[in-house]
Amino acid sequence: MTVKWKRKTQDPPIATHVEKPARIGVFVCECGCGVSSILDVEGLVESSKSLPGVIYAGHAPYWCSADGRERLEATIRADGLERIVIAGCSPRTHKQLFQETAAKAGLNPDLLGLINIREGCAWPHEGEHKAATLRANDQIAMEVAHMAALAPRSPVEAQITPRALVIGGGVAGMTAAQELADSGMPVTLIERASILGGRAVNTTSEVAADLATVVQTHPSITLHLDSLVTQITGSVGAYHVDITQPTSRCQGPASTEQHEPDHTQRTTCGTFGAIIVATGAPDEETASLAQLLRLPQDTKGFLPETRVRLRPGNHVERGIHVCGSAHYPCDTAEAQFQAYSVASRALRHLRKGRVTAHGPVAEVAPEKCNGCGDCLNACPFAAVTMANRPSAPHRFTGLAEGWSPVKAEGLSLSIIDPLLCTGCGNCVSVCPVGAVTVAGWTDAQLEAQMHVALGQHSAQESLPRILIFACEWSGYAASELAGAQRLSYPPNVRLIRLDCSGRLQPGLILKAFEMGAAGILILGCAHKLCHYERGSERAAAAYEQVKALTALLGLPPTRLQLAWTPPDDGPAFAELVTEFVRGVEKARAPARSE
Amino acid sequence: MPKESTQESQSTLLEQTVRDTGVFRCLECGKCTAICPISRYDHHFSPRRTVGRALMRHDEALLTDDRLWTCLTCLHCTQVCPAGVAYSDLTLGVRTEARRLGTATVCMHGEAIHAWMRLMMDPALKQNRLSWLTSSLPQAPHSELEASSSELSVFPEGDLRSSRGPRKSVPHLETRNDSDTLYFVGCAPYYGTLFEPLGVDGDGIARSTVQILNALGVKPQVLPDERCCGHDLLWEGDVQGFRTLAGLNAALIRKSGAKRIVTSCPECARALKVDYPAYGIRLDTEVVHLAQLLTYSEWPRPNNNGASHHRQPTLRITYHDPCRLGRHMGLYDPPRQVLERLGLELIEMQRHRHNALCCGTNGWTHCTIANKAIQVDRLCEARATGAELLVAACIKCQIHLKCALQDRLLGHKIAIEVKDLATLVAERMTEGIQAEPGIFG
Repeated sequence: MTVKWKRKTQDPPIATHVEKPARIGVFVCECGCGVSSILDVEGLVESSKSLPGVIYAGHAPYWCSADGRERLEATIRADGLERIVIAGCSPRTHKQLFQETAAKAGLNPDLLGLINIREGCAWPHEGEHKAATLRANDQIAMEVAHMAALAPRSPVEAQITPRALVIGGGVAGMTAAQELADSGMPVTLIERASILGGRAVNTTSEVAADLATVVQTHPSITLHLDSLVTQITGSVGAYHVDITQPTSRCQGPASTEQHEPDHTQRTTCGTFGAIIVATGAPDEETASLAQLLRLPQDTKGFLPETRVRLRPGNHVERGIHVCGSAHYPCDTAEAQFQAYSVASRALRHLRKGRVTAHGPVAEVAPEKCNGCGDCLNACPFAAVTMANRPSAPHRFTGLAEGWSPVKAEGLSLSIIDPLLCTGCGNCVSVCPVGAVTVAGWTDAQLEAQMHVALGQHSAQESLPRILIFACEWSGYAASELAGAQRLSYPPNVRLIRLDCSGRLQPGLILKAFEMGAAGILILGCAHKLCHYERGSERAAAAYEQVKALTALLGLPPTRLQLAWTPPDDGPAFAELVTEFVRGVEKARAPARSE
Repeated sequence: MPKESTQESQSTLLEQTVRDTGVFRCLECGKCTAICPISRYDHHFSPRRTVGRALMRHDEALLTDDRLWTCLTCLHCTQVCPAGVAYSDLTLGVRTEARRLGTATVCMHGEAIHAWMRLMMDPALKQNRLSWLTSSLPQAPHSELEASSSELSVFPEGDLRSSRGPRKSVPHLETRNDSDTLYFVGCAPYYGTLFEPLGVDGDGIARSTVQILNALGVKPQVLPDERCCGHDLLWEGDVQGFRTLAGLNAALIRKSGAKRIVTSCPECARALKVDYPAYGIRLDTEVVHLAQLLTYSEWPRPNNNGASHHRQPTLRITYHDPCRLGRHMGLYDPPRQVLERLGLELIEMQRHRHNALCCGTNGWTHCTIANKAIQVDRLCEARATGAELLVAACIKCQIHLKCALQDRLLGHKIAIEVKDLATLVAERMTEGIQAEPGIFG
């Protein structure tokens, strides 16, 4: 826990371990005159200089230009900046560019924040320059506070084992195996029957026959017939697979092996960087394999493709693919077509050599976790496992070697795989003891933003302070679109961007009311469109609870709202916010002063 | 007179605390650490070391240790200390100073609980906290999404609590604005909302209490603007918060003209009875816990001549002594007398009465694996009695034990039914009295 000391006198403080504040640089972009014609850019730079931690503040016509980026890089180096806040246009279009610049200057790209003061502040309030500048001022200060409270994490890396596993020896599986092997990748193919061919067996298909010959003779293909996958452990890049295999001779008296007349034994099949599932039409074994691989099944048992368009940006490629009739019913030609496609993707993945997980991932504080398993339930990506505490690896318990609570039999510890975690924050929202945090979206960071947005120093005492929590994929996108379309809405709102609305817990909302928020608007995705699968459900559940609590407290219901906003509807966003602010102003209780 | 400290003046509060709590008397015998349930599971926590630090004025270590906030203030150490060191009070004093200096940890459950307690500090706040008094209401829609699919026509304003199923019809509850007796509800409606997924029925406890009072011939006052008693904020070092809440409550209570306060929450009981006067806040009333009231009141006769007590099956139960009722206020007998009167078979847990194991709660900060281990220990102990039901006399005990019961990996090893004393008494006492659904007058 970091300790921050408030010094009341000039005497040296009692504490000695004051955390050194990070050196922050603020770069305000004029965006040509797109921003500077509306906002008082010089004023923004001046105010930024007085923010805690800020040691540099400057402006430029275009920070994204080649000149601008050179200057940015030079300033980072010269001033030894540890955090960057760029106040300009959309992070959705420009953040990656600036992150590359930061990386060139030797800075962890996660330590760069980009706050939109163009579509975000200037354009929606272009009729009210002063109010627009005030909002931009606060939004910049909020981003600075957010970045100041960010604890940097190194990206997590894993090596990718350059070996592929194909499960299923039908047309699809054999095609994929051949493709990979011909490209020089060692492949292991597992088939549960004693012969290859799948559903093409006992047909006149020449394709299947030819493929079978290839698979059986190819030097790079290891073939296991009569084999089933029993266990898959490990994580992205290195999956350890166990299979059952027939033994070469009988073992033990026949009477002990009544269930398995063909004697089998479990054996390690190997470690693989990519797994291709080509198990054909779904049956009971498909379900157990799907569970081992954490693949969703549709109502008929087929293994659908992940919704690529909806994948969040920091999704790590898992290296698991499905092709053929396991995916959906198809004929030989289609099965082969899919197999070629999947083999190509797998090859690309295997040749990368390593995977890197950037961005926010969830971490569990081992001494706080009480093993309740709520995070396991909440995670849409099966990134959580519950390990038995006494046997959990030392590096996860974070406790002295061999230490475990007395009578800890059965107590568990949540372990989150950083390579599978997408940083949605649903686990954070459900954890009762705050054991899970997502660096990048910690409570400390969000509260730091709330404090700025709602604090006394925000010099607009007369207008009610409205907080908007907007999910990146819906409300936030809509807010930028509304700005781009020059639609106006009231400027006394302060927007906090989240990766997922499911990150919010009831307490955070209540805390915002405690800090003096006149109104809180939460914008998330419709249930079926959530980029994190179930984040919007979590948001709805949290909202229900906090709604009930605020009802008990007697807060007028118009002060808190959860709304679904499509990302492509600017007018809907502007209307919604305008209505909401009106509703708050009507129900206005005197704002609490701290 | 302690020699002039070279530290800043802000440390004189610590000096005061050290003096007042008798830290100098410590014999370093270690009995406190031996009995401490947290120490048992978390080797980094030690009451003896905390006392040692206070003695040696290692202020920094004292004030910045995370584990300062883990202490349950269960008073077990204070009770066994042969030298009379008031350890829990020392913790309170150090926490007060730490909070003032900005090193306090945050509230659990996403900070919801302290947030609502602090929101109640606003004198202008007009809560809507008495809907539990009215009888069965239609289930409110869960959200805007489901509103359209709800068949219900009545949507009581402000009552948006989701519930697991349709509400049971509640008996007719009677209150009177001019009653001598005031029922101090506490945060039960709020806890019931936040911990509804755990199966904690806060409203049910409040209703049961009024039901019991009615059955005893009492129609209590209930304050529509009641604030949190401030117990948790006090024990978490927020003395100013406590004083504000206490001040607001005291004004309401004095205005009510009540001569006696009844509460079903041991923490409210302790706060009102012990802490309010200690901090100079006058109530001019008697304060009793429901169990005490039950022991000296005449119970209603069963309706049927067939003696309903005997018709009810004997239930084997065990009783968990809440720290605030037990060690803090010495009330071990009243709940037991009540349970005996109900004809229940009480099987004591191995550690009971003044030796009872705390349920692992504190003021909602710093809940860790040690707390969970304590809860698991307590639940195993309850199961070992062979009882079918564990009776808790405190909503926070119920919350914490039920939280531990959620752990599906432990499952059957600790499973036992947990019920509040008030709920149990109301059920069994009013058996045979017709439940009348209707709007209360």
